[in-house]
Amino acid sequence: MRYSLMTEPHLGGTFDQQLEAARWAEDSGLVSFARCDHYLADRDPVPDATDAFAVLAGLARETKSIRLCVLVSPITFRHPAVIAKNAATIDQMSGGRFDLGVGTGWMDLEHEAFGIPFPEWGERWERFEEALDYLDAAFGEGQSEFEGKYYSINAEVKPKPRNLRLIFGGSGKLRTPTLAGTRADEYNFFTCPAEEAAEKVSVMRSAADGRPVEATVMGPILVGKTDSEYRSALGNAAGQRSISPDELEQKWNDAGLVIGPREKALERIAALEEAGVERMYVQWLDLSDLDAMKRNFEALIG
Amino acid sequence: MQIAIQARGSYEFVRNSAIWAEKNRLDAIALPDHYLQRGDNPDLDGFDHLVHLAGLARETQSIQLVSLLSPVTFRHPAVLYKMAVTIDEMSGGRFTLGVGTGWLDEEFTLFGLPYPDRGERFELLEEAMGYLRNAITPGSHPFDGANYRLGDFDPHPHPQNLRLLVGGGGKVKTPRLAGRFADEFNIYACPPDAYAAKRKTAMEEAEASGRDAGSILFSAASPAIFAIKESDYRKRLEAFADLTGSTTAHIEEVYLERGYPHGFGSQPSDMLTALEEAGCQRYYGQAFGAETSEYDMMFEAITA
Repeated sequence: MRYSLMTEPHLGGTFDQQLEAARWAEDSGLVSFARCDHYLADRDPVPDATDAFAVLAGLARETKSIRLCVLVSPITFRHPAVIAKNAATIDQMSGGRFDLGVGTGWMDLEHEAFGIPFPEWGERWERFEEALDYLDAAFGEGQSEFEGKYYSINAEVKPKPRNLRLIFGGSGKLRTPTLAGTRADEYNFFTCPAEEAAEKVSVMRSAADGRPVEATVMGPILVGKTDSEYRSALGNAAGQRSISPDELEQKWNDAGLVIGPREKALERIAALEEAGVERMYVQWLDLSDLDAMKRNFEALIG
Repeated sequence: MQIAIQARGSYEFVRNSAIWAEKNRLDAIALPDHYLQRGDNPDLDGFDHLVHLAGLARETQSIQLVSLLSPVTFRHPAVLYKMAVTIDEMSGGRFTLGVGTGWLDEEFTLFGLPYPDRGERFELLEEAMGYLRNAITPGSHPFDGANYRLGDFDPHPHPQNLRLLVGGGGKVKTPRLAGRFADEFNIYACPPDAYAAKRKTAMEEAEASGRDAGSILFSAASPAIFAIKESDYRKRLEAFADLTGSTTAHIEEVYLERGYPHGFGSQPSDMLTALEEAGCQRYYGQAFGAETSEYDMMFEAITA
């Protein structure tokens, strides 16, 4: 299994904290540093949510080898022209290290608070599909031409990205893996029990029909080097959520998350690999406690 | 008078320009926001200038970073607020966000970006400035416009020192908008009496809307074609004529008429002095088409 770090700075987190996390991930040999693209998590308190593309542009200049990823950017925030230009610009600034995740958008709260239009799901899906056509046209060779109901382009787009990877993510069992298989470089879904993961990867693979697409999962881990370290981390996590350690363990086990003392966690990783998952984004929420992130990670990957 | 530079091109180029400007103690570097270069020069790459400015925030230490300026229909004001406040944090409070109506028809039509008529674009700009001012002012300041709406909450992060810029060449509407909302009003270079008149309109509007007119920074931008030696000036002029498919005689005629500082010897600095006397506090020389190796020769005519 290969690993990436996934962060959620819409819950709070300064640029400097994101930089420290990205540099740690680079020094630890992880494949990529990823972050979400949300403008709000809650109204009470309102977190310091930074802009994903601005942060990743800065990280492009302050890291050397790690890939940088937005997982995923809602097409409701920005016109695909802006997504295309942001991505091509970061691609150049990073020397071809940018991974672009795009999705339909789902968090109504952030749209409503900032007055960003948020059409119903059917229209968001239509827009998402059109945005993909638009991005394909913009990134492809030659004159970029696409005419849709919502978006259209007929331009000579320069520069073209040199090594941009496109990621689709989502928990759907049919539509998302099929679309990812036919059009993306990577298919990402939330960590789930191995049997379920195998089904999703299999839907994606048959849609891909031999085209290389990477299958990845994203989710939290809760690991200790020893059983007592694991118990202590579980206790802390349960305390933060105001439930008992047993309840939390049950819930996360049922969800198929990677938890337990190292041996047990590695068994679950092996099962996910067996299911066809090639890389895992380890999700870390609290950017103010990077020490705990490092402990958790190091317990798993040594 | 503060001296600044406006540069465009690849990230490597704008970064080298910023580093040159910082080393030479210029006050600011500005980037334009175009997805296509002008129709007469379509071979040039077009980048996202806010993404570039985010990089410059991390690779410069003290110079002011300026968006000059972003067409309002490119991005929803929520995205402008979030990118701007993030660059403000990344730069330690050195960022100014400029927003305008947009004018280069092809980049909207070819990329399929919204581009209503100028009257409507101006309404959108006015609303976007109201939205942005509320969003960057700590506390809950809802905004309820016909096009943009900000809810009743206190957006975070709060800026350290984020400034808003209004710019353009209009005589009445743009100065009034600047008076109401801007921390910096960039008046595209014009003869000193016209400059003074636009500045006065902005200051009157600021006072009428309860703002301190003295807090607005008045700036100007124009193509920078100057040198100390006449032969160097002629070379730059010819290069610019080639770049824009024009003639040197036509460029000089137009620049004289429009009041763009240009020339050799003391001419450019005399023209800048006249602008300064009309109330201009910062001048952005647009070094389009120049190599960074030429900056010393160009700018010594106005920084000496």
